Amino acid sequence: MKPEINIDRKLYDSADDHTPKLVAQPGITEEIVRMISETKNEPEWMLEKRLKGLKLFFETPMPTWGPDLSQLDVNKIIYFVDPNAKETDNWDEVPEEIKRTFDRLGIPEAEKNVLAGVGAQYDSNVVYHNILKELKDKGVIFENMDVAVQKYPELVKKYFMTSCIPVHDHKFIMLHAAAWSGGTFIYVPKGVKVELPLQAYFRMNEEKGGQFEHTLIVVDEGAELHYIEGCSSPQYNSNSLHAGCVELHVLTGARMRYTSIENWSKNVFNLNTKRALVQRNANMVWVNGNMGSARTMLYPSSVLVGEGAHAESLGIAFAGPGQEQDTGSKVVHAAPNTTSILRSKSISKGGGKASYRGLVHVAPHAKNAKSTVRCDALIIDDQSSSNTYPFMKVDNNDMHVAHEATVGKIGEEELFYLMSRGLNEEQAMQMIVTGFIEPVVKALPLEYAVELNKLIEMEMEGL
Amino acid sequence: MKTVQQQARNVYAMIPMPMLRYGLGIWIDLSAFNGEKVLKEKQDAISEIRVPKGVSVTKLSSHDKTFREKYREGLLKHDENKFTALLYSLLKDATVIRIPKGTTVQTPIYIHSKAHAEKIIIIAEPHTKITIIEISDMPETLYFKGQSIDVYAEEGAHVYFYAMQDLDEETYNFSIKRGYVQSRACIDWTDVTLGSKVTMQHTCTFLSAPEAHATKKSMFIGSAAQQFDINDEMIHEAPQTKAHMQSRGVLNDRAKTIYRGKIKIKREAPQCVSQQKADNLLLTEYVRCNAVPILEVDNDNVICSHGATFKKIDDEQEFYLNTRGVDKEQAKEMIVKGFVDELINEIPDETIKEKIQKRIEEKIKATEHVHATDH
Repeated sequence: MKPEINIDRKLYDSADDHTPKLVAQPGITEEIVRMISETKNEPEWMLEKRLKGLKLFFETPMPTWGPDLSQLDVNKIIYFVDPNAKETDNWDEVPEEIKRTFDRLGIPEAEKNVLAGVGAQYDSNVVYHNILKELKDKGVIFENMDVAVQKYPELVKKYFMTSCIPVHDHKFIMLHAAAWSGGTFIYVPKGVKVELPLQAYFRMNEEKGGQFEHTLIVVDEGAELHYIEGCSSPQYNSNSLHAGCVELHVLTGARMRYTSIENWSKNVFNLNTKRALVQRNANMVWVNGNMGSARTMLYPSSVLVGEGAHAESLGIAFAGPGQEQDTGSKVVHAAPNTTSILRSKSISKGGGKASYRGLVHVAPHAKNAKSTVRCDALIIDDQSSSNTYPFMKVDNNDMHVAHEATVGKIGEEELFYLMSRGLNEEQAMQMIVTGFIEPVVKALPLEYAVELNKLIEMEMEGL
Repeated sequence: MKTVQQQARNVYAMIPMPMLRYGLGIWIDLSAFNGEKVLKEKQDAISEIRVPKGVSVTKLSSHDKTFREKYREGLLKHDENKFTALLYSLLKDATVIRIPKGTTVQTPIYIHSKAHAEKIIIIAEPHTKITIIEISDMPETLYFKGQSIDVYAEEGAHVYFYAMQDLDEETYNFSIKRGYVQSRACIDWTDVTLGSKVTMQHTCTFLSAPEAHATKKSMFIGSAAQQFDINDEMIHEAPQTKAHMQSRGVLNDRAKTIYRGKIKIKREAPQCVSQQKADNLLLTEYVRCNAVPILEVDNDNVICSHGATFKKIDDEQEFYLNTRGVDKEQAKEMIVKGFVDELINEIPDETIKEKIQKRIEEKIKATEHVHATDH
């Protein structure tokens, strides 16, 4: 009996027949940056930020560590693609072929049932945005980032690429600052608890395209938010680039959970940056799944700047043929009594390479900080690789830091046991892998857990 | 040797000083180091080597050309980095210690390392069993000490290598030990690092044939403003090889340590077992303690794990000892000694063990000036 696997990767990999309104010339130049800014009718300070980013990008060399980026030619990427669709809060107004894509991905359906609000971005622009009225009435802002720049200039100016991820952070953040377009802006006012998750879905459709969405979330004092991000793109022969930026400000006593499933097609270079500034007694939880892309370099970070702040991170990476997943969590304990728990799982198969690259830094004045890191890697065959590079930097003695990692294959005894119970080898392997990733899957909202499980099953097929 | 020395000098002149930055703010401060000064100074001290009967000590230059070419840069090339170039620039010759086939001796080989720069090649021929004790504890300031030790454990050989480094606190110590382990052979390394201003101590073991085996134990105690960069590596190149690495570090005053422990398992090396564990005990709030344990695994058929911990002296342990009438300083001493005991109790020389114990006591005493400057 073959397990029933009816999910089809074509769902993500097939491109839509959509003609965009505007496609910029490949490569990044001052002209294109000015054009993007002008199209969006941006204020002067934003244009200055973009130009500063561009200048720094040209001056900064490519990183020399991590996965091989030689196949990525930043001059061939198209930095701005306007999908010819006005943003709307009604799915019926979304152009038919774009709507079809999101329908297939199940976004409108999920919105009806389990979400408090949805944003959908297609190439460079957001095409759909909607939030429950009762949340709007409580003062929750859920906007397209481009709109937020116009509508809430003060909030945006205060938080946009300032204290959390400054423009000069690293090479691809500089590029992001120059070319960013779309994304999400969320503000949850003091004490407001958003019970249902808000979701954004990012879809990259144009060949050789680049997506540079900016997510800025401010969870004010005592507020709560769960945000879900999903990403996918069609399969092309040429490479695309995704260099998003996620900035989270979790203020005093607030709670934030950020769930993200990145399932880019295998021609995408996913060089994403995610960071949270966590204030006093606030709580930050990252849940990350990285399945797709050719190369991923993504290290969700939590900077615990307030006393008693807590961060958790759960990550899973799957590296199949031709893929290199270079991911890991970073946490900086910059205040006393801060705690963190980082957990990571990786699977490599068919020549794939999964690497964990993490950081735990305990600053000199971060007394009584506690951090635990646990990484497990599963290698499915002898063609694949797994690396672990945890950095631990401890600058005071009143703390407790522990790191643990294991690498191994599927145990022959486990396999034998399951096969003696009547499962064939493939089913037994799938069952073990499902068990291996369970701690992460359990942390996901139901539909995502199902999707992730199906994806892993699909990737495990034909062993 | 002349040509290698000349080449090394050229390489040294050409390449810039390494930054010793390992990413994410982990680095060793070498800004005060003056390599030109090292090249100009003439120092003639030579190391004393005492060997039991049956073991030969010769100069590399006394061997024939094939031998010289094979072993001169056998495991360490002169152009690997600025420091290897500096080391080879200073080397006029090398020492070869050869343990003939089948020799098993209880009496250890003693290397009293006094030279400014040295290269020692140890060849343990098949089915030998030998203990080597290496001590570098010159009381006078050397400023720079460079050392390269290559150990070849041929088929079925077992080499126990114990090293204690207690150089004066103005010396930059640069030590590279490499081991090449053949089929069913074994190298057990133990390193005790106490002295120097800055120590870069790299030990790399190549498990090059099936069933090769190696262990590495590192114990270091940093005090005052000492900086230690300790790098242990195990490279599994053949199937069914086994390795175990363990490190215990104690940091006092403003000491800074970087412990890097790397396990690499190559694709052609299935059925390997490899473990690494690093524990750190931090005595003051001004220490800087870093660890970067690395796993690089290109094979699914392995059992491989690593871990690292950082902690201070456990309040409960201290309290327990206090209730038994042991004062705070004594309790600290007992806890520290207990923490490192496992790594040093196998050293087969009571005098050295006693010396280490005494140095531990001195090094972990609270120094007044640290507290005075920061409060």
